[in-house]
Amino acid sequence: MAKSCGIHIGQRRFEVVVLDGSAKKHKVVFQQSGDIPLGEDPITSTALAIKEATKGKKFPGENIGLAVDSGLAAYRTLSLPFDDHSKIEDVIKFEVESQLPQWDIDDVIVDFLTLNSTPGVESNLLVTAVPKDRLEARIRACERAGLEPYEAELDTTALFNAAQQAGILSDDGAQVLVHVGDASTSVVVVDGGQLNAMRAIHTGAGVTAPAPAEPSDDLLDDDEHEEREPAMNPAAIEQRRQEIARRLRRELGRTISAASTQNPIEAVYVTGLQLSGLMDEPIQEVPVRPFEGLPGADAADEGGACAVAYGAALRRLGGGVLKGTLRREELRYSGKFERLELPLAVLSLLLLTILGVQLLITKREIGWRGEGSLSTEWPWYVFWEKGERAPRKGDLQIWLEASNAFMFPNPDDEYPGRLSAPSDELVAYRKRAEAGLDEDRTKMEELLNIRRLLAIDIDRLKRELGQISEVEQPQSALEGLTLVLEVIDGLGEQVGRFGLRGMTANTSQGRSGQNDYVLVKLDVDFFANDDVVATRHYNDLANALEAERWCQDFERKPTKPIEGGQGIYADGITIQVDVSKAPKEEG
Amino acid sequence: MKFLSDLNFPRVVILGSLLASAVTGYFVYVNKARLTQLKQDVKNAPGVVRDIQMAALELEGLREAASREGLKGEGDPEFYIRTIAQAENVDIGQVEVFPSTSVPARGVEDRRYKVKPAEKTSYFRRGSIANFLYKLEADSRRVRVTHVKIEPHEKLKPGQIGKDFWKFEAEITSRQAVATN
Repeated sequence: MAKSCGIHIGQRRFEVVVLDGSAKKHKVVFQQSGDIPLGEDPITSTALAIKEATKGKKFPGENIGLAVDSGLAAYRTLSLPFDDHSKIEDVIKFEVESQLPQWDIDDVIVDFLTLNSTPGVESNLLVTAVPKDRLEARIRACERAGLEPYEAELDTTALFNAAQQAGILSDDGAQVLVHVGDASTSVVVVDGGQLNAMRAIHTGAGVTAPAPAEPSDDLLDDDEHEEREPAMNPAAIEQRRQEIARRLRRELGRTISAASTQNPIEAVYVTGLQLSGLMDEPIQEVPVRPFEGLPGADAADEGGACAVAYGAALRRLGGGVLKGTLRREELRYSGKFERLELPLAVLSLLLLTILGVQLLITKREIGWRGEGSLSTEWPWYVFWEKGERAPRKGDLQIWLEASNAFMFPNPDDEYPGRLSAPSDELVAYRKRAEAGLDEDRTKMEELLNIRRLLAIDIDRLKRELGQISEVEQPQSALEGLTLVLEVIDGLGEQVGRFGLRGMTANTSQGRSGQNDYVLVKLDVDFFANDDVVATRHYNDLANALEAERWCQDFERKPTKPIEGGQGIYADGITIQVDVSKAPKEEG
Repeated sequence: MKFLSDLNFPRVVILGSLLASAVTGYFVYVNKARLTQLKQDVKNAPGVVRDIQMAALELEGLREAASREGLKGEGDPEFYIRTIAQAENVDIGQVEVFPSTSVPARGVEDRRYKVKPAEKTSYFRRGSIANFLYKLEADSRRVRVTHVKIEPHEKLKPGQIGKDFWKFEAEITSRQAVATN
């Protein structure tokens, strides 16, 4: 269910009505009227009064309608030779300009209602013109009260819609609808349920407020028509009101007489402020009745005082037949988003610009850091330059070229380079990388690829040289024999004079997970003056060999004396050597 | 949507700018990530270039070693042995080479080359034999001397001191991986 709010602002009074429901079925959930106090700033005064009256209530956002005093407006009738709504919109101001000599056409809002039309031939229009500044003042007052109206109309159209909803109008009769305001009285003539005429009588029932001390330039004041009321006593006020009632009756009588309706005028329906004497007797034999039938109307409603506000609220619910549209041109309603559209557009353009600049900057920086621009041709947009340009190399491109310059030989400079004979693959890749032809790799990846190619060559050569091998070479029998002979040599005097009559060294494969080893066999003579000394020499040799970490086994052989007492000899001394445990030479 | 149904110039600008900003923003994000990586690469570049130069030096060293290597790649071991036998300070002279192979373990092959002086009665100084055996291993990292037998050139009795001439036989082995089926 939707809610709508109707506001009627008069000279010194306002009414607010809130409806809840739909156009056909709704109820009045809030209804308030009040006086607008005098103040220096009438817009603020009005806003404060409305705000005070509506304090604590929740009102629908965009479903707020405003009805303004028809005393502000001028009514004209106009006939045009077409009935197309958009065409009428285009020309209406121009057509009615001559009928509004009191105003500059650019200073008024012009609206129109179709009284009758012949499709494609003719349309008879009721044109209303309202000064922009006065309309704007009322709109601003509502805005300051927190109730900016989505649409504005004259109280006459709102009154018509309210009357239709109340069931006052009939298809076979004519009615005169009257709203008595505080400064003016709105009159609507309805014939057969259709709008026939509208007018404003510049006399209202608002005679209770004292006159201001000085002439006011208050925007809410209808300077042209208001009568400044002098301070009055109650008796004088009552007398004045009776005079006003009589005047209104006369004006209504003229209206009834002048009305050209196809149906007889059934009654005059009066709403708004109460005026004694207005409804006492028929006018021109037309009965005068109060405006009844509105939902929410009761004794406290003073005879439908809020009928105009009701009509405005009804319009926002989608009801009503007459659709007055006064929020036009620069007074067009703009929602929160509409107001932010232009700043948002500027902000979004600014955002795009900032991002665009960021994109350019990052692109530039990427060039500076990476490969840069190796092309020697000028870009298409630099059409004024001729000839070639120097390539603009990025940091990594410079690193790549410098590294290659140090590594590869340069015959032009007689520079030998670190690699005297680089492989063809390396040379070819160097050229590709420096020219930026390797599109699959970044500059760093190109450097890493060069390192990888070098590692491949290194690995290949190491394998060729046997520095790395998938299989371990067997232990060296030569090395095993050398280890043993080094010990013998190292003992010096301790082993005395000795003779080697045979040396054999064989590399043997270890069994059951044991290391390979070298089996060294020696036929050794130990020369000495006597066997004892020679034997000691032999033992010392045995002990020295057994003490070595690489000596896995020393098989002592029986010794025999050398003929002539020169010492002893032993054949087939076997030493098992694990070369892998021998200390490695440094460097 | 009301926004789209009531399109006006500011709304078109908002929509277009936001769309273009989204696209541009994506590219800015991608470029920023790339730039961050590039800055890191520039930071790492000196280290990588240093590695490259060190590797180049190592490669050059290995190339020089390879040029000195006696037994290269699939080079002829017999040629290698005979070349060393006739090298300066070796002077072993002509040798006989008896190749054989053995399989010490699965996927491994030992190529053996037994070396004997061509002249059975030849004898040599210890230094020549030692230099010969030493160069066989030193000039190639792919061979090992796996059998050495050195005897005085004349049979000596225990206690007998002969002349410093010797005869010898040796065997070198080159162990390689072989493809297994």
